[in-house]
This record gives sequence, C-alpha cells and structure tokens, in this order.
Amino acid sequence: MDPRRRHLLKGAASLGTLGITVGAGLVPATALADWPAKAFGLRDERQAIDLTEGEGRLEISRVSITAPDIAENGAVVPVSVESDLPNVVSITLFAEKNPFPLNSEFQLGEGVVPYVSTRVRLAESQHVTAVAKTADGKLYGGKKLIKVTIGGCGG
Amino acid sequence: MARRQGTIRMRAREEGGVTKILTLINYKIVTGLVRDKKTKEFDVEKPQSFVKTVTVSVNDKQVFTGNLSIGSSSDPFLALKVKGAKNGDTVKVHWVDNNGDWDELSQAIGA
Repeated sequence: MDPRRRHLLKGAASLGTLGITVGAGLVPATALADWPAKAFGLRDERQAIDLTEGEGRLEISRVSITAPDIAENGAVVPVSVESDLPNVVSITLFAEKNPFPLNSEFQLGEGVVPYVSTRVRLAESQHVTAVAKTADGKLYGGKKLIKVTIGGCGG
Repeated sequence: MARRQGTIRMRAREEGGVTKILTLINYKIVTGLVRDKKTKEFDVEKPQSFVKTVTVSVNDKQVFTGNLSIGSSSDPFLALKVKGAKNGDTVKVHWVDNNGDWDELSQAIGA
C-alpha cells in the first residue's frame, strides 16, 4: 500500500477526534470535563499538581483539611476539605506517597459550597494536600499529616 | 457496560438554605496493585476496578463532578453542600466505573 495514503488516513482519523473534542466543548460548562487519565497516572505529586491545576503559584492558606491525625486503617481514611474562599470551581486531593499521588478531583458547579468530604486510601503515613482553585485561576492549598498504622494499598 | 442496580444510598437534607447531600456507593474497589506473594508479579487475576466519575445533579442541572481513582476507599463516600435547593427538589447521583458499569439514583430532598 502507498505509505502516503496510510498517513492521510491517519490524519483524517485524528481530525475526526479533534472534531469530537471541539463538539464536546459546546456542552454547557456544568457538564464538566472527562476523567483526566494522564494526571491520574502520574507518579510524582509535583507533576500531578502542575498538570491538574496548571503551574500557578500554590498558596498554602484558607483551605482546611479535617482528618484523623492517626488512621488505623489506611484503606479507609475519612478526609473533609473546607474553604472560606468565594467562587471555588474545583477541589483536588493529593497523597504524596501513594503510588499515584492524584487521589480525586471534585468540580464544583454553581451554588455548591466549597466543601467536600470523602474517604481515601493511604499507602503509608504522609501529608495529604488539598488544592482549591477559584474561578480566576488562583490556587490555594491545605496540608495535613496523617499517620497510617496499616497501609491501604492491598485489596 | 451493565447497570448495577441498587448500589447507591443517598441522604439529602436542607437546613438554613444549604442542602447537605451524603452518598455512599456500594462498590468493591480493586487497585490492581497487589502482588502475588510467590512470584512478586502483579496479580493479573484481579484487574483494576474502581469508580471513575460520580456526578450529582439537582433538578436535572449538574452541579458536581467527582473524578475518583483507585485512591478512593471501597464503598466510596461523598458529602457535599449545595445552596439554593429546597425540600422536594430532586437530587440525582450517577456513577460510572472504569469498565463502563454504572448506576444512578434520584431522590427528593428531605425524603
């Protein structure tokens, strides 16, 4: 087969994907983004934060994490994040020493209070970081050290 | 790509203009990171299985998206607070996992 034809076909295929992406952009902003596979696959916390939040300056203030100081079971650690900031559009949780530091990402639509509570899995004792992003793109963070008696990677 | 019936439990209560929505998904998360004790290889018999995305809508308007990962506990739990909703409004919780399985539940606030 003519290799150029192959190339052309490939080009058309990627154009098709592009078309879909552009189409998806037309969905109202509340029908928020897809699952960010690339960021969830990163092994380094710093990179994961940069990729999900953009490389803005992260200020550690005005975001508080409520979680136990010592978690007996790393497989189920209750974590609540709260902020007094106005116009928070997303809250993201990172666990620096987990195999994949990006833990979960919450996108808050209109009328949602900057608060989220969940249960995470921690591989070992570590700092958990919560990052809140405001509508103007500023980043605020909170950090908390959680000690884990039994790691949560199994199961 | 099948629907798993009855996996969601939800409670939504309005108090002082703020509705707190608590939701619990009955789901066993498999991290895929467990190694076989003898061979030290990843156990391929237990492929990853986790809830990928949870969305919450109030009166058919999507207000919340949670992108989760294998870093969430089994039986993922979420709590959030929404302003402006009132008793009787419908809250819908929907989840989809990495294999395309899903479930959803609609319930009135205060019910």
